[in-house]
Amino acid sequence: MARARRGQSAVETMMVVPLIAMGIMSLYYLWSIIFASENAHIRAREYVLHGGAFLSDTDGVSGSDPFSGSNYQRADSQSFRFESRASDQSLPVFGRAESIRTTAVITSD
Amino acid sequence: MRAPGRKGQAAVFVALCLMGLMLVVAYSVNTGIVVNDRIRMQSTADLATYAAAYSEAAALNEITKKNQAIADVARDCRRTLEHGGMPWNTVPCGNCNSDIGAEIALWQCRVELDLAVAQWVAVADYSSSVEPALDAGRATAEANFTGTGDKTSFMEDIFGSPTARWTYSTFWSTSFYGGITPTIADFRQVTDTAFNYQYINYCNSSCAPTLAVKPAVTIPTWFYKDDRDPDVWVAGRVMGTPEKRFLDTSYGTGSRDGGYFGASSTGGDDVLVAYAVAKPYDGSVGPSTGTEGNTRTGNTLVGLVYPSASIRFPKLTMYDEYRARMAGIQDNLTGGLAPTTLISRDGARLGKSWDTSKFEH
Repeated sequence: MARARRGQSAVETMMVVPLIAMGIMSLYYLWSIIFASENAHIRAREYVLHGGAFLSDTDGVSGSDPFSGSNYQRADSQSFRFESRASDQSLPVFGRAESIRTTAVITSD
Repeated sequence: MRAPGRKGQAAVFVALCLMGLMLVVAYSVNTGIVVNDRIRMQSTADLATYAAAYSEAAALNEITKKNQAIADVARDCRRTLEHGGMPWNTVPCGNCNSDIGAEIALWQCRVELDLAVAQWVAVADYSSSVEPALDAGRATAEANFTGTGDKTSFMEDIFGSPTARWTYSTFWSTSFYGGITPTIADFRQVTDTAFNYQYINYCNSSCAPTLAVKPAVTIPTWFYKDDRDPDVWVAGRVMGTPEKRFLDTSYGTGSRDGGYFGASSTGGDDVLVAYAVAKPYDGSVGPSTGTEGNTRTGNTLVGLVYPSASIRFPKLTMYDEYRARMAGIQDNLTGGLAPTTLISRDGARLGKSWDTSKFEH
């Protein structure tokens, strides 16, 4: 009987460890997506206000903004639209990464 | 040898551990989503408030242009009445005490100035300067966070707020009529700009004609502010519940109807609220660089057209270069209700605290 139970703990551990590992990887994966989303939203917001003036790099960010040079532009009209798009990617897990795309808008209508 | 009663003990232990692990994962992910939504909501508040401030800046530029137009008309009128330094002598007239040509020019000046003042009032009116800004703010909120447009407030319903109707108003007048109008800021009008002229006065008998100066008349002209613009700013509040919630469950009854962590979506912690402050800056509607008298009003025209060494133009610093920037709740913005006071009156629960001094944007 005792011989038959040898290795049972090892087998149980082998069954549980992948589950725990998957849980941790899932957490890591979802955290990465959320972080990418936060990053994309912040970058889009920053770009639509200041363009690339205060972003360390503007990869994946584009659009129009009321900032020019070192100052905000004169407000010419009560009809206006500034828009920026930003994207970021989550960290790859098992070779899969999610791409997050966001838009920030300043508009009069 | 394991006792029969201990069979499956490890399985129960593992199940409990997995359940705990899953709860941690779920809680972490939901917290991440809340933080992400909170960032989105704050960005929305910033952009909506900026849009309102930008629209107000554009309105102030238009107001400044119209103000400059009034001053231009006044300057041209004075040029006309100065008559190149020569006395008016349109139609020789015995003891008329005036010149018909100059009087017609003066009448025309009066009409043109009144028209320019009316155009200024039209663009400075609340419905032309502030209301479009509030609409722009709401449109921006809706564009960035669906469902927040109609839940966005710029404190326009709190009297004393810089965006509320009648917090600021302007008395204005023309030669024929006047009134009080709700405006984007308190403006004052220069009402003592003087106009007169020199003419040749003929007498009825054989005496020689003499040079005479027509007594000055005053006509209401351009507008100014005591300060440049600290009372023109916007505080925005955006609120809403994100449409795509992750682990929310719908209870459907009571106050726990499925917001974040099963809380209320109508009044609980899952209704995200964000505040922001922005302001127009860098322009000047009218002459306001000085402190007192003619310097402040720019009304160096208060002197007579004649005698004068040359035509004196108003010392104006009208500067239609308004732009917009984000401000801070802690910014020392005066006029009306300050941001902290205003947001406190709004009933804000910033960071679970009613003490807005502890909250910095």
